[in-house]
Amino acid sequence: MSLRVLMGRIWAVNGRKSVAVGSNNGNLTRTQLLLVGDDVRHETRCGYAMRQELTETGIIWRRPEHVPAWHPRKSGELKTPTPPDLTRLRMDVLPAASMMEEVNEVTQQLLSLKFARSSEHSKVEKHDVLCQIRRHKYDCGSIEARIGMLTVKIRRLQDKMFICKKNAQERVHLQDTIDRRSRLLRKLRNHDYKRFEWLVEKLEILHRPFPDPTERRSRKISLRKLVQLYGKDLQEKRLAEYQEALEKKKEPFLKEKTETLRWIAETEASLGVPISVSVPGEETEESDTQEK
Amino acid sequence: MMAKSLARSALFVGKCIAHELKGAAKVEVRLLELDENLHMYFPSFQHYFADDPKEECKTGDIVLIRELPEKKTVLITHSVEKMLYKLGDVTDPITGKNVIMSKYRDQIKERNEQFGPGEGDAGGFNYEEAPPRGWQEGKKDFSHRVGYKAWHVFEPGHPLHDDPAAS
Repeated sequence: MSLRVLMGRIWAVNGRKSVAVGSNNGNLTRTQLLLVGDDVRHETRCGYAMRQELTETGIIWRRPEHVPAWHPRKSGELKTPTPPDLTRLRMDVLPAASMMEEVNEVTQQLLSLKFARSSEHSKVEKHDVLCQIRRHKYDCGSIEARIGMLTVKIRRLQDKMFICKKNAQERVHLQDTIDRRSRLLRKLRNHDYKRFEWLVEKLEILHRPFPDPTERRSRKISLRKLVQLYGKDLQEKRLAEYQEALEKKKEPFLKEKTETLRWIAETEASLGVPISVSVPGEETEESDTQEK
Repeated sequence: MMAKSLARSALFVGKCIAHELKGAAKVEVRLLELDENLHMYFPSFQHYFADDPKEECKTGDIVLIRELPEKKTVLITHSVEKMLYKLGDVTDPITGKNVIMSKYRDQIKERNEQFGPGEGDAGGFNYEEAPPRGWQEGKKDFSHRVGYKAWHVFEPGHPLHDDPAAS
């Protein structure tokens, strides 16, 4: 991010090379202010002014990109869904799987996933996930089985949302499903912590706490936080520098101290007064000789 | 004076909640306050930071805390006297068996064995082979962190860059 001062105001601009856009006062026009260049043309203005006194010290706020609530990054999906093999049989034909060798190729294709509906693909995916996590062969109601099936549903709906983002009905449905799953995950964590950890690892879900609903993302508050972080860093840096400087002074100080103490001891000895100080290096030698 | 000393010797039972302070546990204590107009008790919550240098308390644990004779830091005023219930392996105090919700683990295992595993099943979760609790903390489970909205794009290398607790 770079900045440009214009008409006494500073505008933050995305990207490396800045596009300075300000008020249209004076002789300058918007087009004159744009820096012409291929890499610059697509850059857009952030839409918020920065505080000049802060930008001078290098404190620049970068607003995080908006991520919709249904997005895998928000819902905590760490794995992209893998479509099932199209040669596999549909779930309703599975009991007759042994007879498939007897039928001709066209029938085999018709009974496989190749020409099946999307819901048939979903059933197969759910079955695959359930095989990994279910308690017994008829289990589809335990809490982990429900979470597994909801995860498949969420990942499929998210894939659809990327294709058509304006489908509001699907989006609401997806959001409901995500909320339901997170509620179940919290419940499972409270009741059976070990199983929850195993499940989260198996399904590759990132479980994180909800943010404070009253919390707002604003330039003012974010800049305050950044100033606090800057102050903390500066404090640590200066303390480390001061400590280093003191460490460097330590050796000459000790040397000077020893010399001074020795001088005092020698002067007191020459005057015939009992010695009131002990020289650090000599004291140990004396004590050693006494011990011997 | 007497009230103060009584308060110091008092023990509180509370639930550990998420926080960002190192070497401590944040404990939520539920108290009941009387509304004199309605003559009804309403729950009120008080939060204390208890000294926990080994960081054994996890979010959801039930602990017993006592006020320290002198504050350890400005925030840490209490100490963890005893861990009452660890989140996870809940044990029935009468039979000594492990419990999940309203059923014993043995009952659930027995029921699962009656139905038997399906074809190509991985077998589900096994308590005996499971690692000790907290092995996913900081990897895929971030319940120990306080969630917040992402408020800045930090440079790579910064401790808050791509923070999983930020949503």
